[in-house]
Amino acid sequence: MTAQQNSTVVAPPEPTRSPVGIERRRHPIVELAKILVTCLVIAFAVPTVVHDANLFLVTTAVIYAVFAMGTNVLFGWTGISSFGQAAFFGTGAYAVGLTKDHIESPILAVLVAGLAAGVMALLFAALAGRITGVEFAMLTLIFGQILWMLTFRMDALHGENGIPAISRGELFGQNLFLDDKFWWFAVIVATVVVLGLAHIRRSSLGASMNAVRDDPLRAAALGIDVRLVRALAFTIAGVVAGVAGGLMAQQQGLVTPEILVWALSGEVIVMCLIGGMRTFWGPAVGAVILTVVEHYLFDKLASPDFFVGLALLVVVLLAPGGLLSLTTVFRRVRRRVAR
Amino acid sequence: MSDQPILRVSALEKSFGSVHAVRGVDLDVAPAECVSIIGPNGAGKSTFFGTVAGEHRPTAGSIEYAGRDVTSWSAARLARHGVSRTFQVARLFGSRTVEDNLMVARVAADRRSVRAWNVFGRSSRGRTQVQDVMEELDLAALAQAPAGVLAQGDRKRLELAMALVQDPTVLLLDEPTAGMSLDDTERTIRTLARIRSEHRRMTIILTAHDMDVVFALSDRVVLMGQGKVVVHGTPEEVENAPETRELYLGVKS
Repeated sequence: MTAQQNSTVVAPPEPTRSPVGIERRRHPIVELAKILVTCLVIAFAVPTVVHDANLFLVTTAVIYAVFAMGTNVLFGWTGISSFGQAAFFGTGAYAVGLTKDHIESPILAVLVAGLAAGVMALLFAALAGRITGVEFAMLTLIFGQILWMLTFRMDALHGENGIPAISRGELFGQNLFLDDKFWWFAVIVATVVVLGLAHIRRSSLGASMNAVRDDPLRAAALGIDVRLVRALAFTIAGVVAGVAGGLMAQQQGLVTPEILVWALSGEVIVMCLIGGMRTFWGPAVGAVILTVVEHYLFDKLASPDFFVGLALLVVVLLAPGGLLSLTTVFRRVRRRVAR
Repeated sequence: MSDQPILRVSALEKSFGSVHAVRGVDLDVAPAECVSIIGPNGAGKSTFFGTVAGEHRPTAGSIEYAGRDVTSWSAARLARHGVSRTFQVARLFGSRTVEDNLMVARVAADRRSVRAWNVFGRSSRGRTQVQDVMEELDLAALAQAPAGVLAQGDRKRLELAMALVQDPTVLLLDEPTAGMSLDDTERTIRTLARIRSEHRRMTIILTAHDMDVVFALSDRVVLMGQGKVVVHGTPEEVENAPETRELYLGVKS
């Protein structure tokens, strides 16, 4: 060690060294505008290329994308593991099913779905109290399974047969029964959710969530109420899952216990993993890929789960940060080549 | 002591199962005082420190801060009321930038950590404070670097900066120079001395292995051994006490 050694003289690390997850800061309005434009482009472009049954499938993919982005508030942003997110997705779906005779407005129905799931998530987070980590993940799994069983047992929910004949309703004189009209409805709801999530991510709460993820003890020592941050993350994820579940109920026109099955909780995690938990859009990309690929594989293969597992293995081994993390790697390589 | 103590620790005890790490410690700290806690490994100073900081619940005894009983307060609550601490091994939010780390600390001190509808880091008052602390601790050039890739010396300085940016009433420093090169140690001592002269109202309690730190900064020194206070006095008094030579310098290998 020489006397001259002084770490501040060293040039600041170049952006090429940034790990995945650190992005250049843009003005919040610019960022929201970019998201809005992205969503609009998708909304207009997709129906010109994709029609009929395929449009129905892509709409399903968008709904799962919303679900996955909400779930990533837990996994990617706050570092909470939950194996029971299907419970909140299902709560939203059943909320739409149960209120189908009383609520005509599809927007109101989706809001009720989000509210119901949000209240459920908040209650769960409050009851789970200090429990964290694997124990918390197990509790979410148990909670999900309890709700799933209740859907069979409760008369009001019609057991295995579920609640049929859920109408998609009308919006501004447009009959959402038509798939190309419902596409617009789903994309608009998704856009609002994504804008909301983007805004929360840039807020103090968003920063606190990252702090809690990176080092909860440190966060607490700074005065952050770690339990409250976790509970809020769980509630936000619940609301978004509920909204997605509500959309799903409207799209399918039917809610059955299938919608709360624990396998869906696992699948939404796989979506986040494939797309990349440390990126904003990663979970949405993962959801679209998984939904579309699975649909075609189910038609052609006896055991598509095997290939989903294989695909996940390949992604985890070759791109541990998920597919969207590759853009960072790609940029890094390009900069190195350019030098 | 003419002043009302800012911190009063009475008969503090902390056990982990059958291990009695702290066995009845009394300590009054006056406002703006700097007290060092020294002692050989296993003397209980880290546990004592963690208990005062709210990381551990005391088994017995009480802690008063600014005249209020804070014995059962959590670390977060203490921090929100002006007790900031650093950790022996720097704990940072590795995925976010140096500036963000400081801003998280500042926002937490302002009790705005759970605001969901603002833009993080846009408050001009918070920004100014963060900039000032970065200048003060030579972190400005690293503002946009992710905390996770910092060198050891920079990590420790950021750790200290995160506590300072909260503008604490009581600053708890756990081994502020542990793991530092001689150079960095000297710089840190100079920085801390400057902070003491600039923030005259700040009370500092620190633990240290390094006697240079202790002598350069402290008004008083508390020597702990086996969970108890062995000697207590000015740095010179403690240095010259026979117990110190026996327990601390003698045992030091």
